[in-house]
Amino acid sequence: MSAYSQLRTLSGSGIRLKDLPQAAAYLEQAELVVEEASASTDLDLWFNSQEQPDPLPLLCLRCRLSDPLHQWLQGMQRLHGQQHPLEPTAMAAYLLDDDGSLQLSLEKQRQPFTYAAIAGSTAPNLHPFTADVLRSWDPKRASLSHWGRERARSHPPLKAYFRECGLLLIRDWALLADTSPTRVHTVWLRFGTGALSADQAVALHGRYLPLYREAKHHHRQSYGKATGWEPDDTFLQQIAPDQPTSATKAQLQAIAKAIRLLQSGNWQAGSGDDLEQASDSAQAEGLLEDSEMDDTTNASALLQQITAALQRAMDRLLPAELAKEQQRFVKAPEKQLAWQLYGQGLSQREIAARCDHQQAWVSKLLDEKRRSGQIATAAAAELVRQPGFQACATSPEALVRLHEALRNHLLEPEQQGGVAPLRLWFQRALHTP
Amino acid sequence: MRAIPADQDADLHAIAVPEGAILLPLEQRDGAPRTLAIAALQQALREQQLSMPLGPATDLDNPDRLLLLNRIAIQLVTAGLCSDQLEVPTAPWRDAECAPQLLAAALVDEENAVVQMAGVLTAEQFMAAAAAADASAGSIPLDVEQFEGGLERLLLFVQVLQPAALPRLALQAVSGGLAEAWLSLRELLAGSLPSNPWAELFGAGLEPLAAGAFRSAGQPELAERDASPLMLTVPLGLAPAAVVSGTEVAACVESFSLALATYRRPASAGIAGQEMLRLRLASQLSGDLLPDGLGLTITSGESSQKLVAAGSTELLLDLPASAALLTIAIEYPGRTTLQLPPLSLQSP
Repeated sequence: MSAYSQLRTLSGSGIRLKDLPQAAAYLEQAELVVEEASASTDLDLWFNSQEQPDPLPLLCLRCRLSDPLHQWLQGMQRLHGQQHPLEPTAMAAYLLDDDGSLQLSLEKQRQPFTYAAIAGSTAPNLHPFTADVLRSWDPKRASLSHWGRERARSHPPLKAYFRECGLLLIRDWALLADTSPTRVHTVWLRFGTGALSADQAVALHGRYLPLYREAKHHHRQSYGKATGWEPDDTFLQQIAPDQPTSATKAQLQAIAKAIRLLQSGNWQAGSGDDLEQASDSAQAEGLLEDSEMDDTTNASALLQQITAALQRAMDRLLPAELAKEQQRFVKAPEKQLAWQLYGQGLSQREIAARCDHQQAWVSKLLDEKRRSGQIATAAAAELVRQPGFQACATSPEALVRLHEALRNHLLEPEQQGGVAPLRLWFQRALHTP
Repeated sequence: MRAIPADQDADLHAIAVPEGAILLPLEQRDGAPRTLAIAALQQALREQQLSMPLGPATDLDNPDRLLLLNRIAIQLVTAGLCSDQLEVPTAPWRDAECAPQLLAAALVDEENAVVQMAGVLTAEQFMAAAAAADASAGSIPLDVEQFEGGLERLLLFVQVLQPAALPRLALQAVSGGLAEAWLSLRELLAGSLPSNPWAELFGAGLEPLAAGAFRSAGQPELAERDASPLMLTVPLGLAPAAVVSGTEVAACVESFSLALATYRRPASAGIAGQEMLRLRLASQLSGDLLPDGLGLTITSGESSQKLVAAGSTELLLDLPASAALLTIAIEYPGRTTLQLPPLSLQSP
């Protein structure tokens, strides 16, 4: 593709590459005939856009910007699309919304899409997204493609979309602020790149923290929001007065990258938690021993109390939960199928295969851990009023054991080959007219 | 840990919304962390249809105030969503009369309006976790991993536990804070400490390990050659409102004592020998029954053991020595629990 005269844009038929002859003609006239993107051409066009009230140099930069944004979206899809329901066109609607027009709407008026127009606008967010990126770009701080990705990561509507899909974009600056010196030391030894020693990385991070908190506080007071803060030269200079601000920024970002590398492993390892696998039937069997009951109490009578309390808790809490789920059955009949299969005792993996979805989809739909936890809490609250369980209301440890045992009782069948009580409830509820 | 692809671009990094995290309406995303954490708690209570009072009604956002959820006093601390540590202000823990019963940790992503309740610590667990910290500092750093159970455990505790099961404890219950009261039992029992730090605090005394002092049905008697030369005894009693120690015991009708000694369990049947700690709670009058319901709880790391007297003349427990700090609590229904400072079998 021609980096400066072809635009990645979202159209009715999806994301496509749009030729812009006006941009190509401008490049030729300005003697900037280049196929590949380069930092020097970016700068030439940027200066031209400021010197002339001409929308064409900016149009070339919009083309230039659209490709790294597209690549970033593709990367997100590739990396996270398996686990999260990301839709390429939905994501593109936030970033690739530039149609190549030479005009844009500002303060409800159509105006030429020039640098002067976007720089003079006081609107907090500009449309299309490329206008927002080009308005805030400072070539001294970042390359255009990097700045585009930075802005994408902090673009509130896109962040909101990702959140809906179960994915959070955390910026480097917040990530650094969340990290203890101990962890910085650990990650730098393991993943750090560059000339800094681990101690130097910890020292740099230590100088960053108080200044960040102060700057964020000031930003919140000035703008009334937590989002949108970027470290400027003054801030970076304060952290390390004896080196260029670009070096300080790069070092901080390298630390953030090392933290992310550690987190990738941790978070990935923690995802896809399968309660089915985690459940320990032995604990369920040991329920009566764990509950610190009076020795003389009849065990089977206590088991009956447990079963009855759990049944009452399910009957009280689950109808509203099921009603919420049933509202989605018309639009997504595979959800109804998933619940039916769950009621029959199929594993999450089997349900996923039958519904043509990932196991993560099934896990999120069933939400077994939350549902079983709430039912176990309600049952525990009832049980501790009965003589055999009163001790559990006086000891946090005993209560936690009781709660875990109740949860396991819900999720494990009483007999081998049987269906667990929680599944059985859904089986009966879904078969009832 | 999963291998990291070499070409993974940091720009593409995103984290999954943590399991159990609460998504607040996006309009709230610029709120302060505590405000968001409380909003998340309120949202969870609404969603679960739990009608529990949450206060203080007019001052919820004040970080200097404790939350009162279902009449349980909770210190709420917040940190960023990706944090590995958080700072716990120590001011609320100065006075046992008004100290928190629970410490709850909320991890907050302000920019995405996402809150994850990391979990809770009881006051007893906080004391153990903070044992090695400088209690005179304005705050104590704790690893996020020390908080367990998420929102579920917080709601479980405040709904089900009796308030007395969550005693209020003060960091400055002993002069100079817990760090100074941290007892290295091994050195004390070996007679190598210049003074007994529990003597003034709890009236605890060192006595020679008398023959038969630890004899008990079903338990091996401590052989002199394997045991510490001394045992530590703490006089205890049941006052009208609390389990007490030291000079207050003299005024109590029910009195008893806790004795601690270390010994080495010999190797046998292929099992290596091991250093053990023995605790014995018994009436001060030999052979007398302990008050029914009197409880002895020993917590070491994440594990906890509890013995409750029921027609018992003594409560006796053997524990393998480990590097973890031990905390001992003596409880009786309806009375304030006596929490002894953490002790270690290693040097502080």
